[in-house]
Amino acid sequence: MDWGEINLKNEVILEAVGLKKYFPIETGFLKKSIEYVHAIDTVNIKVNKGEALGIVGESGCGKSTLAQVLVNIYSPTEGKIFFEGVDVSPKAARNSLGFKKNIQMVFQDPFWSLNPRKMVRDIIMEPLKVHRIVEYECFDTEIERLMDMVGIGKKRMFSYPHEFSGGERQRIAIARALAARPKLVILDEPTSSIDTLSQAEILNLLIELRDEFNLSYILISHDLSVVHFLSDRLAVMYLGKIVEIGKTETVFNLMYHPYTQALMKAIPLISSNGTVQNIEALEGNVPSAINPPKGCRFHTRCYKCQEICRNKEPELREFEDGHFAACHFANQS
Amino acid sequence: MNSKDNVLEIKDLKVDAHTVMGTAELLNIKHLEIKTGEIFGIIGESGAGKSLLALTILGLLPKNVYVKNGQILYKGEDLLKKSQEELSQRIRGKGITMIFQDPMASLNPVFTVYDQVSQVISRHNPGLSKKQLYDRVIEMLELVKLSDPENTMKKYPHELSGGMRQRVLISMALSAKADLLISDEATRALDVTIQAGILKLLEELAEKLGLSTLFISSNMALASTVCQRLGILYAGEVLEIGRVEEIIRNPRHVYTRSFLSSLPTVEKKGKPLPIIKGIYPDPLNKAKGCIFADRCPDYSAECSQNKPTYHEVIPGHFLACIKEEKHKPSSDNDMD
Repeated sequence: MDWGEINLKNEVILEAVGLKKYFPIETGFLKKSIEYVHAIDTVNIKVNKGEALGIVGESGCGKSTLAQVLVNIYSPTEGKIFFEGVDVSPKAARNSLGFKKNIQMVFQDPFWSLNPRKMVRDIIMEPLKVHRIVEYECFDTEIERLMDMVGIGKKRMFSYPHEFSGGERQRIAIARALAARPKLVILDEPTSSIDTLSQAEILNLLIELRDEFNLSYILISHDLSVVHFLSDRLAVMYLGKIVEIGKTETVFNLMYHPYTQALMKAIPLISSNGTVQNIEALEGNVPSAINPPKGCRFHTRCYKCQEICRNKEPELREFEDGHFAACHFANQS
Repeated sequence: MNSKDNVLEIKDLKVDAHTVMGTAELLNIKHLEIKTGEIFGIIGESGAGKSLLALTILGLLPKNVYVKNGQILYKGEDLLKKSQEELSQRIRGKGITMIFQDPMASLNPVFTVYDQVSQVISRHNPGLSKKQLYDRVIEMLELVKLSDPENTMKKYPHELSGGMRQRVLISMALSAKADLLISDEATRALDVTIQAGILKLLEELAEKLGLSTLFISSNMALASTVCQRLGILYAGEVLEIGRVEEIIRNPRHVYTRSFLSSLPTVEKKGKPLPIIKGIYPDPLNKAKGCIFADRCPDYSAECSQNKPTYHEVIPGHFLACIKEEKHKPSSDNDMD
């Protein structure tokens, strides 16, 4: 299946085909697995070079698990991952330093992701050492360069993380991620734990860095305004599946899937002319991922739900050029 | 300005703290009022003093923090003159109540919902029979729109979703018929879809019970969807107060303007977001003049000499900025 591509000239940097991750629930003395949490269930995504792919969804929809599988924190239950055309699904390939260097991650909470006992210099030095980016003698110049790049004075090289504000810590985390000179950076809620003003600075920085180094991003967030600002394409996830994917503008404007509509309506937004969107709540809770609903996974909360939705799982269908949605009644209002 | 319409009024409040490094000036609020039945939003970054303001109102300040001067009038009574005993007997719970950011941390994990809600009710209404208590719990859970209250109240907090936990907390907060609810980032830990439901609930409660809410948040878009009026708090000082539409469409203070323009809205895609240079003021070493002077792009020498007076620019819209004072030669009549 070939979908989700916007620009054929663009080189695909990362591709995941039929990716699944089930977490077993072990019970009893023999640790027998009887049930599984279907964290991600048959996900196909493609990220082009220099592109930012946004992933949105409620908590528990599997967006963070997806990132963690891609960055090799978990190994997938099924499915293949290709990095620059090379199959990296075998364990050996994924564990090789050459692959790990290419994908780096920036975590949600910079208060937890930086080691409080290490100085900024040591934090940024770690990837340089592991991946042998530069010679030992050049470590300090390289660290200075990285700190300068993310806008933290090199004088503060010998400070500890607690001496920095939330926004500055996230800059250090970004510097650490970029130290390995990756091709793809996965940003897991990069601005959700920092203030609005620092958020603007981090967003500007991420865009600058992307243009400078032709980085690709996978941006995971539940804040749609951040995702819209940063990403070129957008995937909406619900209960382990992608329900809609396409160019960010098209997803925002067309909203084929009822879940996308509900998500957009729930978000408080101020537009530039000063109007405030009226919010609407989506009733019900996300169903359990242990026994996901039969048929369409969204049917328990969907206002369009009909008989077919309860029995038959909808496939992703192409509606516009490169815009896919998984709903039986997507183009009927 | 009729003080009868106000459920809460704060006048010239100054809160300081003793620290090893010296005295820190934490809050300096000239005037702030919450009208009966309105949702009033306090917006600020972390460290602005939003939560401290809530604690000051409830009289729950940490040991080293003290009120230097000022008045907090709750329905005309000065809360700062009351003893802790009086506060806990008559004000906290019965008059002013509060919900917090993380509902899981506020609920006791080893008791069921019924145990926890009924405990609050019987604390405030001693002498209720078992049946009456049961009915009151059901009534409270129905008030916050929890589906199937009979079953929900037998559950433990970990069996509930985040949105349901927050609803249980709201029901506990309201069970003594308080008329001012302080919500301290109450929806921060929730998903957007669930958050929308809680916001709707707050709006409904304001309408149905005439409940006033002090809505503390760092998210301007979020606050502007529920609040009628907003106050912008910066380093412990209120820079601007006004109706939501006024604040969003026509922000008068430079800080409010920068705050709004740094939001990544749909129209701003592809351009760098404007940011404010400089760092947040240190409470130990506050500027003598305007608190925002060192980061303000419109800075002039007089800004750092005198504190700007807090004046009414248009009816109901207050501002602390010297520049605007000159543009609009209007009154100082709020300082009477």
